[in-house]
Amino acid sequence: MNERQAIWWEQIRSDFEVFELLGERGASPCHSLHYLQMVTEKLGKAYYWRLNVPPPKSNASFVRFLQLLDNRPEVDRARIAGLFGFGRPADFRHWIGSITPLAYELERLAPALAGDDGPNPEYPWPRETPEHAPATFDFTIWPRLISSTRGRQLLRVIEAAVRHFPHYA
Amino acid sequence: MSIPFDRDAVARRHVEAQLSVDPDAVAVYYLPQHSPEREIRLVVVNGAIVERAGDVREPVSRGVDAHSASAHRLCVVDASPGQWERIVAGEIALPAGWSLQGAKQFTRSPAAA
Repeated sequence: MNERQAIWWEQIRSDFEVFELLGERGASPCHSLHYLQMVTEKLGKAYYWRLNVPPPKSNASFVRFLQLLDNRPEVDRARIAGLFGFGRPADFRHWIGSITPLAYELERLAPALAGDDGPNPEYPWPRETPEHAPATFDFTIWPRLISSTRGRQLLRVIEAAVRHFPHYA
Repeated sequence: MSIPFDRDAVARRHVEAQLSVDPDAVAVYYLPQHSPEREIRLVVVNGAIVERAGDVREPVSRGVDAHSASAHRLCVVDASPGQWERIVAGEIALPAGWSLQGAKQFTRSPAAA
């Protein structure tokens, strides 16, 4: 982990602490989703800093982050798989494939990617004629994150990705 | 005055949510023994997951119905059918303080306690 990444990691850990706090307090899902989306976006951007150049400004970075981990040399991938709780590199690869659609949905929650008419956890929409407030909206991704094994696995792996960042970045 | 909290009924609501949202959940076990009064502990057995040891060790927990009479904490661990067999055999430990004593099993078919 280089100095730039260390600074990003500080912010990621802080964001993740807020995500956990919101979960403990039973906050409205929009707030948990907002912080989770930010954590995952920043994970991708912090990882990109390993090249010692600024990451693209786009909010789309989490799926790319998973793909880049999957593209690491075999020996690294085995180590990262272990850090993320998988017994074998093949299991980690299979998991990335299976989780990508949900990771993509999470990534698209960023207002800039959700678009003027799409649900996002921060601002009422549609932008021109607001009809929905995030605080009272039933986000379809939420039950799939908290009431499915796949979703909970994603949450656990994100937690591991935050905790172990210096060891694979 | 403390407000009565029907933990079993609330647990059943969470079990139904797990089974309805996750098509790969084959059984859910509700573990009421030795848990705090306002904590609901579930083990979800899933037939289509990539096994992670941490899924059994690390419950995903969150507060539910905060600031209401039914405020409680939901804690869920996940296991493959193979992991569940090893949990029952005592080869894999559940989180500290969790007990299989008095476990209630729920499946998609009519509930079998």
